[in-house]
Amino acid sequence: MRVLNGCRKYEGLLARYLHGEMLLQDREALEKHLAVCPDCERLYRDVADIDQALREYPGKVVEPPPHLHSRIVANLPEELPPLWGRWGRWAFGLGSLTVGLVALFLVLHRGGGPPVERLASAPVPSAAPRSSSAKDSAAAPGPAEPARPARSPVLSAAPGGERKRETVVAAAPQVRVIKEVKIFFYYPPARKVAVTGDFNDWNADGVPLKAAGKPGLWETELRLPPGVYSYNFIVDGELLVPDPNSPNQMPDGYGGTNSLLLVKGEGSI
Amino acid sequence: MAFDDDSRLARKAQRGDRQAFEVILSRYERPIFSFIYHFFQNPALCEDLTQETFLRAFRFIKSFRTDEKLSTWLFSIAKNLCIDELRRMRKGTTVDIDAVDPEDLVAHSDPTSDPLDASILLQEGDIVHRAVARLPEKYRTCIILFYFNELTYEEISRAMKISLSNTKILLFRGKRMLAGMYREEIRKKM
Repeated sequence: MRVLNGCRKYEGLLARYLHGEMLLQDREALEKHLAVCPDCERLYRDVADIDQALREYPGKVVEPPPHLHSRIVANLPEELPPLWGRWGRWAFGLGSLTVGLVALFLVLHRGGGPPVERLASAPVPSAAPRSSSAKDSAAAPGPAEPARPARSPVLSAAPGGERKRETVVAAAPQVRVIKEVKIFFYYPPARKVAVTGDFNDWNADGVPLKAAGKPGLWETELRLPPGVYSYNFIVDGELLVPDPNSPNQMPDGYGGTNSLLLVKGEGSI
Repeated sequence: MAFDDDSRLARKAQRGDRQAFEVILSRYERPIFSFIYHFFQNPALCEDLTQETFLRAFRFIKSFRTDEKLSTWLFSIAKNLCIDELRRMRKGTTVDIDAVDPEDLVAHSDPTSDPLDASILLQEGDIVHRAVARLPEKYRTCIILFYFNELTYEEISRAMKISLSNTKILLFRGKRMLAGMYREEIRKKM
């Protein structure tokens, strides 16, 4: 509407005025303006009328058809996850997981490859430097790679320097190895990305990824003990997004998909 | 169990109590169905999306934080599904409706004409309602949650993951667009 083109500063004031929350001085300024600006005054009345029409709209609550409740109940999975959560599904999925991991291991070590783990479907770009350093491998995935589908999320993880933490126990010291794992996610449409998974008990907020310097590329670093983790990304605060093209995935048992992250233990690198 | 509050029901559901989830379903299927109905105004679509909302809620119930409001969480799932569906429907088109300047959606009517008459609006409530389904998604979500589902500003800002002041601005601009669409409709009828 042209009416506000010269009066944009009054837009916020009008919005608050309509919702009855305004400082007295702002209110006076706005009322003065409305008295001399017929366009803004008309806009105010139009919006107030729409407000009234919406408030008084009679069909706000729409009754769902009677069969919908039973239809939804019938389509719910038999049971919710048991108390031991996803670990239970690990037990059930152990067979296929083992097969998957063997395949993953073979892929990763084909030709005695260096320790760059590709956990997504996109091929490792031939031009990318292969290095055992987390920083070097961080530069490997990039939006400019021609083979990568434009909207395909891509994850790679590269174990960086490992960190040893000693816990002194009375009898003998136990050494717990923590790996630093770089997580990358290539997904240009995203405005905000986080990663969540077994490692943080599927926390709804997840661990945020930050822009990795190239458009559409996101990164973060996780510190995890060696093991296999299932994970997904949370894009723009919405629900979980698995990598649709990654072969390293397993069903979550509820109709969805989890991607797999392998953090190698000492000696396996 | 029907008298348990939402967070207690959610905790029970998280522990695997299916009955608790069915109580949640009974409690929220109407508001969620209504939200989706107003969003698309297509009854066939809203049955499927209501079902998908609750199946997804069931699947992800463990990720629900019980210090949040369950209703807000459910609306946020429904909203995400509606937007996904909208994008699927629009696939192939190159216009991002959220990128459209709200100014363009508002009628450039004669400034000397009379302001909208509330009594006409009341009679023509259906026009306004139909116009709601033509709003860009974020304005539409905001307007429906506020006026039809009667959520508070705070609840909307949590469900939409936007700031409180942004919520109010979206509501205002949404109404401004509706006023423009309404004028257009009236002009077509005359």
